[in-house]
Amino acid sequence: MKVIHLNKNESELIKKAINSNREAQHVLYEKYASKMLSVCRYYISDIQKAEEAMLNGFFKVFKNLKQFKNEGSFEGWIRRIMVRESISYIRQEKHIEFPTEVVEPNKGYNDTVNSQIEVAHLQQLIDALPEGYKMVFVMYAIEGYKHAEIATLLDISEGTSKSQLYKARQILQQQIKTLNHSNYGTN
Amino acid sequence: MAPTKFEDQMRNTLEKRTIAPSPEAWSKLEYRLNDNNTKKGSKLYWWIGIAASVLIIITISINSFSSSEKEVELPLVIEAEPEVLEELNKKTPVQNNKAVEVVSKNPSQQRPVDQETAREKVNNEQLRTPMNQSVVQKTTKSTVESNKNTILESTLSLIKDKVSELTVKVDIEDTASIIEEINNKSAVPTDKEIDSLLKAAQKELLIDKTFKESTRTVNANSLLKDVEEELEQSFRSKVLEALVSGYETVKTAVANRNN
Repeated sequence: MKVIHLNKNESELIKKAINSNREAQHVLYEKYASKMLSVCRYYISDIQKAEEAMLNGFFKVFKNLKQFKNEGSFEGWIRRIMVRESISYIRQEKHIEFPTEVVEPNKGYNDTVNSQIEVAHLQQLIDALPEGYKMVFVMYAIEGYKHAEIATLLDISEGTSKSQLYKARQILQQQIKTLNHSNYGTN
Repeated sequence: MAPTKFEDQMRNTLEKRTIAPSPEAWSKLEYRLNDNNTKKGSKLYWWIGIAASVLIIITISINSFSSSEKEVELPLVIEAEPEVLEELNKKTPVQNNKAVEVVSKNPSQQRPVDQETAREKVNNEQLRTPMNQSVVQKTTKSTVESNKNTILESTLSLIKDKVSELTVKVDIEDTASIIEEINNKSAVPTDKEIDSLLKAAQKELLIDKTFKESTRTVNANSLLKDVEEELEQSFRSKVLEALVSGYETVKTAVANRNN
């Protein structure tokens, strides 16, 4: 009952927001802004630039709110807009390269998981990746996009997307090893 | 390559994170949204303004085009004195279909000259209704005077032509009779005879003049006076020419007889 009540409230808020009701828009903003800023922060290392990308995303959300047809999750719809806005923001800032490399499918990487790594460290690991690798890795591993969708959004081939992910994983693995050794010494 | 466990853990950890935006973030967004609304409104007004200006241009062009057509299509000219018309029609047994109705009297009595052509272009029924006449007068007021002048000139020339035709006919008849007399008499015309002929011609002109004076109006008088002056000159020259040619024929006839 609560979920239905909440959804009913949200759909009413969305209707009001479509009619440029500033209060309804503010409520929706307050509800999703923190989460969306975190999403933008995956892609953009600087927090102020990430906030700017987030505001750009919300501007497009309220401008195109009529196009949301209540078919899926409203949060998921906003999130997709935020991801696209973050990518375009990075592209405006700098030229992103996606160097292609042949992927050796049998060559996996040692999946040593350390559950003690904190969120801040994880973000630092992601920030350390080159832009091209980072974008593909975040979209695939964190956001859950498929290689075909990544290729469309970034205007690259699926092969390039796969190679970028492989390279990103290699670098991350190396960094995690380094982190483990520095924290716990050699095993 | 499916996401690894490490990546799953990463995702779960990062998904729980939230980052609070700065306090002024909403005010920035609100300002942009308000600015966008005003731009939309101004855009709408801009388009309305463009549409209105286009409509105005179209109406002005239609009005100017129609008024120019009216000016071209209404060769308004003037009704004549019926008496003058009758005289002219008597002496000119030629076609009267052309615009011979002349002499402006009262501008309110105007009507199109060539009715057939006017009907093709303008509906006469519309013209003859009082409302339409007033409209026509208003619209063509500026062109009426210029039209009057042109029509006066044309009618003058027509009058001159027809009167000259008349006089030429008369003169030809008279001179033919004179030549016959000369040929019959077989004598050289004397100066006295020439003078008498000239006097006779002048008498005829005076008679025509008085007759015309009794019936014509003020405006017609001036027209006819001009015509008469021209007639005198042309008549004299024609009589002289006829006499000279008659003299030549008589001379040759006499010369041949002697031979």
